[in-house]
Amino acid sequence: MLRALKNINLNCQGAARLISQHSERPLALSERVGLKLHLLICRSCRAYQRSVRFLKRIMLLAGSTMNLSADAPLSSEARERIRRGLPDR
Amino acid sequence: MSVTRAPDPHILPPSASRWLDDHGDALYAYALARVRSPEAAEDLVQETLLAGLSAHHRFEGNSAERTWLFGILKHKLLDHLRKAIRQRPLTEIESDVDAEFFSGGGHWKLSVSRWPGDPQQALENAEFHQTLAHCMSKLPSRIAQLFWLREAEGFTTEQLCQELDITATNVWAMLHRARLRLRQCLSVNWFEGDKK
Repeated sequence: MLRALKNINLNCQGAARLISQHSERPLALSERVGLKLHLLICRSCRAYQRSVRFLKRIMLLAGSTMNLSADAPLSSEARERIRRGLPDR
Repeated sequence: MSVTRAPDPHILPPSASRWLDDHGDALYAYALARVRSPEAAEDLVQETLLAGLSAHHRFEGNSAERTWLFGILKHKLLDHLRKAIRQRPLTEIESDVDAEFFSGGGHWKLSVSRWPGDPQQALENAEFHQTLAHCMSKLPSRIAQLFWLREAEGFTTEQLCQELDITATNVWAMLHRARLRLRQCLSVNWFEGDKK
């Protein structure tokens, strides 16, 4: 039982870390309890948790096709350099 | 009566040169946005086309040619990231990110604003995509790539450790950093911003 209370005094720094790790690994009981208690009393960390989930969803829906800089066509020089390296040019 | 089937005009013989004409710009833009070096992006496009030639017998034609080439490019990007990490170990960028966001007592320096709306709604706005791209470009390149692999390409922590030859702690630390920074950047540039 004492082990379960290990994270009872979780601060925002620790909570943010756990919020992030929550999607990477199963949290220990003490971590889950500590995080839950902290979220009850902390508006900022609730907002942070929401934005982490928000971001996750956005990246899942858009990230794979995302062209992070769309205005970057191959220059004709670069295109020719690449072509010279191809066997069927 | 023997029936000779005419070759399907939609299936062209493999030609890296034609791929370059048809998909070169798209592949290059995608690679450049991730590796951020024109030279490296150029090399990746060439490697992708060459790998496409030698793997073409495995292309079943049930996905679009471009999708198939992008699949190859994504593998090349993963290789590229692995080499980059091997050359310059992650410990070098392990400065304390928490000090940027938290006070000595472990409280947020700025109160965190609640993002209104929902992801679907945000993505319907073309300007949001630009802002997201801007914020991704502000992340250190390797952190942005790792975050993209994890969240968009669906690699698990375990897979990333294996593919990139790094520890789970490394992965967690980099993702944590990406989330803190991205959230702050989007709050400032898209949502209403954080308050003191």
